Amino acid sequence: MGEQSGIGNTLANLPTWLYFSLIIILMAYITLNPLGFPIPVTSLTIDCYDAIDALQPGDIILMDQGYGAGTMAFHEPGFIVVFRHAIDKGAKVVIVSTSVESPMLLQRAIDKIKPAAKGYEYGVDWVHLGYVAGGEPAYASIVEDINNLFTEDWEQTPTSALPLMQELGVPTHEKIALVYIMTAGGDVVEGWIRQSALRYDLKFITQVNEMMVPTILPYYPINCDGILNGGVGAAEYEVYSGYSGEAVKLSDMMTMGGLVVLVFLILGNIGYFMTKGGSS
Amino acid sequence: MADVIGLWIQAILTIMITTLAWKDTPVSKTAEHIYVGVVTANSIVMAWGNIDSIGLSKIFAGDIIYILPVILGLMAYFRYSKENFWIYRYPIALVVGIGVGTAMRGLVGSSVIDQVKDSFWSLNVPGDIGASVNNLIMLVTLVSALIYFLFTIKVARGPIATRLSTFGRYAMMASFGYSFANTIATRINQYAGRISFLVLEWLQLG
Repeated sequence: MGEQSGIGNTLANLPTWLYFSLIIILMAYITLNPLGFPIPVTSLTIDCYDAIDALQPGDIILMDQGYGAGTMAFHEPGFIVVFRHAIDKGAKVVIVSTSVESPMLLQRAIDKIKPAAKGYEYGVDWVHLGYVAGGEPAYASIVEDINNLFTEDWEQTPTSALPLMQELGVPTHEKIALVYIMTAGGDVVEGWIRQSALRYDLKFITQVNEMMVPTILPYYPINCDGILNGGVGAAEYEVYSGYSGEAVKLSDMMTMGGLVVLVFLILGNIGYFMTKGGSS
Repeated sequence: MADVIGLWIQAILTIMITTLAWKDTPVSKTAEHIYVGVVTANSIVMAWGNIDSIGLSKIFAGDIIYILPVILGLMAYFRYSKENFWIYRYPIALVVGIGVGTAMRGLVGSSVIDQVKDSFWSLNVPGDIGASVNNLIMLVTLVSALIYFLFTIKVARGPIATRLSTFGRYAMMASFGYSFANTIATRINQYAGRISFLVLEWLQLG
């Protein structure tokens, strides 16, 4: 019994550094030697794909590029693959940011998307308006009259000089075919749903962190037409659409990280039942 | 050259913050404080950009009405005055009022009416037994979770209601487990991006 509880104690109190070290070593190994775990595509992702695929040339997508440095690893691949798909459909893209970190991270993604190589001209086919404060009242203003809220784009060019912004008249929502929100904040999605999908019946898709999906799922499909489930969703989109990207490469690491956590959860529970849980 | 320096700064800061996995050290604290400092500085610049483009530039263009939000913004600084703290309450009251008012317009629709509407699913989906089973599970868990929160009605204390309530509790625990698993997945994904950066971009091993 004593020996048993000794092992149990060890299992129940495995050091944190061991757990993190294993994750880091395995992830680094898999980065260099991908295992090619299968990536099943869920209906949440297929619905996002269908929403983009249904766009006609000239349709306008409003994107809230609301991710920060912390969530960039999986939001950026999702943003890139959706943007590429939108370009191939000939849709125009209006990018706003409701997170302070986002605007400076956009150029990284644009360098990978290369819209100019596909003939996409800045100001005509896509614009980046930068950050706007104000939360939900700001979202309401964006869909009502975006030109009143943004008088300049991120590079401080007057929006009156940008043809795409002139195309977005008043009310702005009448010109928007799809709203696509990337964020790490649940209240952001809910606010956008209220101000765009519910109020003006706009088609609405979102990419959120995996941890936020349970919060947003009740809105699917009645208010939210599709959800990209963080990095997993981005990888699924890449597989389904055929655009190669970074999310698929990361998915093996995510799977392996998840497996390590699972193993430690099982070991911790065995330790618990061998000691405290077992005796009670 | 600037790119190389940027790459090294990113790598060093990533490693510094990773030492947190071992324990909270001055190294990890330093990286943490650098991050907070950079984000705060960036936030100030962004906020000033908004004040300039939405407020000041419009005032200077002759749209005098925009002086009102600027004055309200300045009033918020009375938060730091013990004697005139009350002045700070007015802009905050306006911000809260506008925020709640804007949200309320869609809150009932999205969070109540549409949720109720969307809970009426067919229990017999022709040709799709899986969907029928899913909808049945949805109905049972919905009703049982609602019963769990009936604290004051006698019927909710009967034997059937008690069992349903217990089932509702387990259903919610399963949902919390799903949330927890998703939280872990998010954290792993965040770090996967950093590992990929260190191995492929910094060390260039791939």
